[in-house]
Amino acid sequence: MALYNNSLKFLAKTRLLPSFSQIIATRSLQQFSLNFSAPKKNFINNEKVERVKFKTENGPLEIKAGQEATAQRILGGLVEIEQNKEIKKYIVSGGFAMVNPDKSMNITAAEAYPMDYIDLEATKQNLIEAESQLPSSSDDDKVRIQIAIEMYKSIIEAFEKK
Amino acid sequence: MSSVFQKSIVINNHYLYTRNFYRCLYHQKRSITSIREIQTRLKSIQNTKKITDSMKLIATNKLENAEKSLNIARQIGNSFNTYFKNIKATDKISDRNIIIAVGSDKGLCGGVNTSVSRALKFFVEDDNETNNIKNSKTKSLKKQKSNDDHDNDNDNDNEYLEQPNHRVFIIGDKIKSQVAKNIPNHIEMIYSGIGGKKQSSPTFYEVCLICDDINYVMQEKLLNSEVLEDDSYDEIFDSGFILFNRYINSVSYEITTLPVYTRETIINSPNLFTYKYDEDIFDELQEFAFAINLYWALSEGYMTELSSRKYAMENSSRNAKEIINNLIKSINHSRQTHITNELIDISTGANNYKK
Repeated sequence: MALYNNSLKFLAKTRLLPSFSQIIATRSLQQFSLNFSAPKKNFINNEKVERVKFKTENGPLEIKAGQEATAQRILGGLVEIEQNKEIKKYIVSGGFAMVNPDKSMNITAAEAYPMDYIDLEATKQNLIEAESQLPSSSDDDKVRIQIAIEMYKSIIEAFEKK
Repeated sequence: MSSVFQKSIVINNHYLYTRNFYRCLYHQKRSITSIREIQTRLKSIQNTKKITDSMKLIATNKLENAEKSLNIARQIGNSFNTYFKNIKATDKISDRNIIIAVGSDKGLCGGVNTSVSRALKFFVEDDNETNNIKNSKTKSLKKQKSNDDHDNDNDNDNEYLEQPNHRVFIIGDKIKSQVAKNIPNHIEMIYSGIGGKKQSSPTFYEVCLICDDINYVMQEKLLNSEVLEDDSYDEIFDSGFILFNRYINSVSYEITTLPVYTRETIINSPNLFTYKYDEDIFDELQEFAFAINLYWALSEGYMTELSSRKYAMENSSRNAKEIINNLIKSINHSRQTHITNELIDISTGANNYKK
């Protein structure tokens, strides 16, 4: 204990940074491995990340290292993944997020794209078109158009946050 | 009488004359006609070689894309199925089972489709035979009982309902044609034309459509069937599995199954509460797992189809090449013999003329 205190004092005095191995050790505690895949592309394949944020039915959910095992349904919209202090943003149409008992995490989406792929003005146009089509359509189409409208709104919301 | 006899002689003479005439013709032209026959055969085999070569090229071009999509499908399937491994969901076959057999639309790809259809026949016919044995046993029991007393006949009737009842969904036309004679009563629906006109790799959208249709068909079946009031079903089917060829190498594949989970099997699994749930997600989870497993199976099947087609076409074009070489040799040989025969004729004629 005395030794530990001494070393701390020493660090404080000399203002030395902690050694490289220490950085890795602290980081590995904060990180967990993530699998993020959709049928068209495999975005993240068993890589270490720090934080994942997505939308569920009960509001937004943030997952960090040491989270207990859960199974969550992701609603369509933004998925934020922080990897090595870089935030990657994806737009997801819907899917499932499972945090396993061994603290690894799987995100499986029906469709997913990086946010750069998506054009904001086109989505706004599509939203206006869909809203105009909604009253004059059959019951089956109404459900589909409502789902599309929700999706467009959540995409626009994601862009406004930026 | 005499006139008839004469007529018959005339006819006979005519017949003999014509037969001899044609025989002479045949003998004269024999060598030339044989060469022509061989040449037509050679042309047809060269055409088939062209076809097999082009089919092999198409298969090799498609292989790269198929392998990419297969790797993604394997990744997504494995990562999603870790959940079901962790909660230890059962894949037991129970009453009202569905089987989805995955094959190809077109042939000329080795034994890919026969292996699937053989396994399908094995699963369905095997259970049918056991059913028959059990039925015959119950019948014999009934007979004995009916001899003893006539009142207790209705006890055995409930056992018929508990036998597994396979409903078969087929993806790919080739399996349909192989299986249709053997298990006509079990086939529910046949899907074909996956990947569009270009026969490209299956997409997730198509898989979702198929899953939707399977659910719809089973629901219709449940609504139309006469269900007793005591066993009211919550599920449209109790269990199921997907039959497909798993791709191992460019030359080897293996018949495997993937389970189709239902809401009941997920909820009744023993380690369900190793995970925390904020809401009831099991309906969506079941549908999504079904779609992803089917997507995995379809992309594996597509990959095996392409690789085995490439292998088969390679072999057949090699065989065609061998046959072509042999035919060219025989043509040359017969032409040479024809020339030497003519030369001999000429030389003998010249010798006779000199004398």
